[in-house]
Amino acid sequence: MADIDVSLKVITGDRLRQITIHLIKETTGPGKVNWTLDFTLGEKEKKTDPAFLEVINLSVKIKPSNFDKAEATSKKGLNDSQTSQAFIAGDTAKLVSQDVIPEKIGKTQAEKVISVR
Amino acid sequence: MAVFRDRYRPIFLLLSIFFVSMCEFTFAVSAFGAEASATCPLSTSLYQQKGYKVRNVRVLDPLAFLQKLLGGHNSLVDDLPVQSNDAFSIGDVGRARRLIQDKLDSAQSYDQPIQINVVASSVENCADPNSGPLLLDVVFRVFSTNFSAYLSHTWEFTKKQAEGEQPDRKEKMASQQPLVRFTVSPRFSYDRSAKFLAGAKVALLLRRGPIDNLAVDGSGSENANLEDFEFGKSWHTDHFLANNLEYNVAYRHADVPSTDNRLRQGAIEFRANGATKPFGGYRTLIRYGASFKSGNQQSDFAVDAADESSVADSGDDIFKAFVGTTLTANRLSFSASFGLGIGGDRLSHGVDFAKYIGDIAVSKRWVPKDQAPGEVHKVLILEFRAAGGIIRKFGDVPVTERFFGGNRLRSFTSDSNWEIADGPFIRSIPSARLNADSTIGPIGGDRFYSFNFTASRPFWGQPLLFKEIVTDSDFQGALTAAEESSRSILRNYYATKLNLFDPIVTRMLTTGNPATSVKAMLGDLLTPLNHLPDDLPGCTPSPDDEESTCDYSDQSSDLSGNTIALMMGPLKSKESASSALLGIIRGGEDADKCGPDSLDVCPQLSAIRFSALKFVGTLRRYSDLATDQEMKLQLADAAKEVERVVTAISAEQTTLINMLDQTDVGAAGRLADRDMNDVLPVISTTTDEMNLWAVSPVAMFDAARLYPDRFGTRFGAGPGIRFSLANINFTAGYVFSLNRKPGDARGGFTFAFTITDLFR
Repeated sequence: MADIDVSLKVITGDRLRQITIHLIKETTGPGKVNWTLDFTLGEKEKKTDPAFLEVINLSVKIKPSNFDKAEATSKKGLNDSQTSQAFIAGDTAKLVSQDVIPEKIGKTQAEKVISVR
Repeated sequence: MAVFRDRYRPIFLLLSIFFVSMCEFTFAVSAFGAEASATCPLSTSLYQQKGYKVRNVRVLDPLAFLQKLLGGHNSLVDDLPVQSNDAFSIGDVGRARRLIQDKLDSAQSYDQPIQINVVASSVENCADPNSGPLLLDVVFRVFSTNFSAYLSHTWEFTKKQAEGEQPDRKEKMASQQPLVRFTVSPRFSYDRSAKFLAGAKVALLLRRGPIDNLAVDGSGSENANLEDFEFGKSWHTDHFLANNLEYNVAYRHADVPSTDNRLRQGAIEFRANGATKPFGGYRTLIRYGASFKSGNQQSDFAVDAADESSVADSGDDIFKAFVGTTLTANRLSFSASFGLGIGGDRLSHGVDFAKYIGDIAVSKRWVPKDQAPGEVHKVLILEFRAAGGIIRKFGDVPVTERFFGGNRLRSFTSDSNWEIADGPFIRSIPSARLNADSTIGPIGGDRFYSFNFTASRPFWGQPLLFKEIVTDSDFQGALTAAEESSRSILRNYYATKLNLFDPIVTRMLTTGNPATSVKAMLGDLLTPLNHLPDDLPGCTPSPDDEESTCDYSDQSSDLSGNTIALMMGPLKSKESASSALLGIIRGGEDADKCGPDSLDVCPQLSAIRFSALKFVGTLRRYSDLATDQEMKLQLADAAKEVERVVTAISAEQTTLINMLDQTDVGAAGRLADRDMNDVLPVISTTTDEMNLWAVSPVAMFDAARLYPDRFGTRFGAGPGIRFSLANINFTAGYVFSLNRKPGDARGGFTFAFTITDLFR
């Protein structure tokens, strides 16, 4: 079984925020895999700053009940509700980093990118 | 709104590319998708349990050569925690995969907000456990979308970058580019006129200041010498009319033969040019520019020149303006350029001549329908070029400004990125040998036209994508995923940009109207929660949560957190609410399964409602259990208030869904389709056309006519060979004169360096 690590990195238009999503699929045993969603938000104060400083990292183990949806997403693509949920997850992660809400909620919203399919 | 666009467009683009990544992702998964490969039939974990050792570690990156060109990652293998002779460990392989991923991530894009990297690991060539040492290979497959930035520029800007003479600002963060880069490019060429011409170009690439490139270029032979000194700068902007701007200042000197004549020029030239952003369905762009050159020119045959209202030895001023366009459709590229020059001995003394130039180029690619996986893509490429020009005389024309033809194209623009033929181009005749010698002497003509055809088709090479990838049955599914995801993301982006959901989100966010404002209702929901105690005596853990100590406080905390997250996150502005609208009010395909025990498929409002109702039940239970009357009443009142708000949210959510169903999002879909017309060719080009390297036979045919020339139109045809590295082509060949005239050579060698514009 393949193990795979997909990195998606985006720098926002104002060049002040960087979102990195790692989607990791790992073999854990015969016929067993784990899917993990690693979500990182980085920021910098000025565009000219050389590097993004990590604001928050959320590591979410995708529930086995959503493995099929993770596979389906890879084969059929993101649908409209998943796209919409991705924006919700991004906004929520920022609030987690500001200690406005607990990390658990940020992780739940990140995993919903897969589960709302 | 502008801030929102700036902020979120890259996210939309990210997601656009995410679908592509899913495509790549599936590439990799598909490549190893079976539980057991032919060479490693067991599950990976069993090889670790059986004590296998690593025989070999490989990192396969189809675009490694490009990364090297860009100064990116080099040998990754040496730094990995998995090495030959190590005991095979899934953990080490995972760490190695992450290390590769980190290295790819560190190659920061500049000006390109999105980067997708895929790293897959697998084991291969596993030895039979019953015979010989237990060995296996660990293979990492790497795919990065960075290649598109390198190869998908409009072709006007690629040639210098390919030659390494112009920094590609899209590739790296400014801070990672060296302040100064120094390149030396040796140059060799041969033609019958100039003989073996050898030299070099020394270039300095500067990152800051008013100059970003400075170069000295010199070459010479027993018959000719050319020297250039130039500097300039280019800018990329977001402005439609000035997507690219460039200036160049040069001193150029040339002394080249034209049969028995010699053409000598020395002049200073200032040039400025630019290009618009691509627009329309055919990705049309307009290029424009102007230059002024002032210097001197000398040639022999003064009497012949005088007979043709020309001057062999004089000053040489010329002002040029040029405009052009390129467009693409269905693997067909078309470009047209027109130039106007007015000049004379000294322009301050008046205009002695006007020069009009036209140049049209068309290239078409045909992709075979049935291509064997893993074999070179045998794409037939046909290129056609037609050029013509005329000089109108008002006084004496400097001889070197007249038209000379041959196998070295003289460009009207002096810009290697934008060549407009300033004379007939015919590959069977040495440079400047088509010069009206037979009629008026070797002083050039005052009118010309030329046509050039080139056909090529690879017969040997290697496709860009691994055979394992393209032969996988899931491959087409991955492409479908890529396309559909992208459309979804773009639809969302344009729906927000066009304010299609404005009535809905306005209704949701206008807290001044609490009867319809979801945001106000969520605030109402928080009010009773904020007045409740943090904990309750006698509280019991949630039965479905091992870490729970009190179901009441857990539910209260979750409900408050989710409500605050929604209010301060997606509902903080119209723009963010619009982009998240589906997720807030309607959810996905499984939304009908949404319920108290399946909140992960619920839209945000439904999840909050079910959580709130669950909390209402908990409040009532503890109210019934409470012995303190004040507490009993407080809990009961809170339950009543929460229930009231939930009812209001539920009714409003129904209204919002109805409004959403009645919203026409067709305009967003059309714009998404328009953008997809840019994306899909990139995918099909990568999968169906792009070779890592290829060798192609080439057929060439030329026709050229110079006036006056009593021998009329010359024809040439001949074979050649082309070596292509991705879309960069080196072509060499020999073109025979088909109607050889007295004084003509049998033919001429031709060498060319071109870029095939695969991604436009």
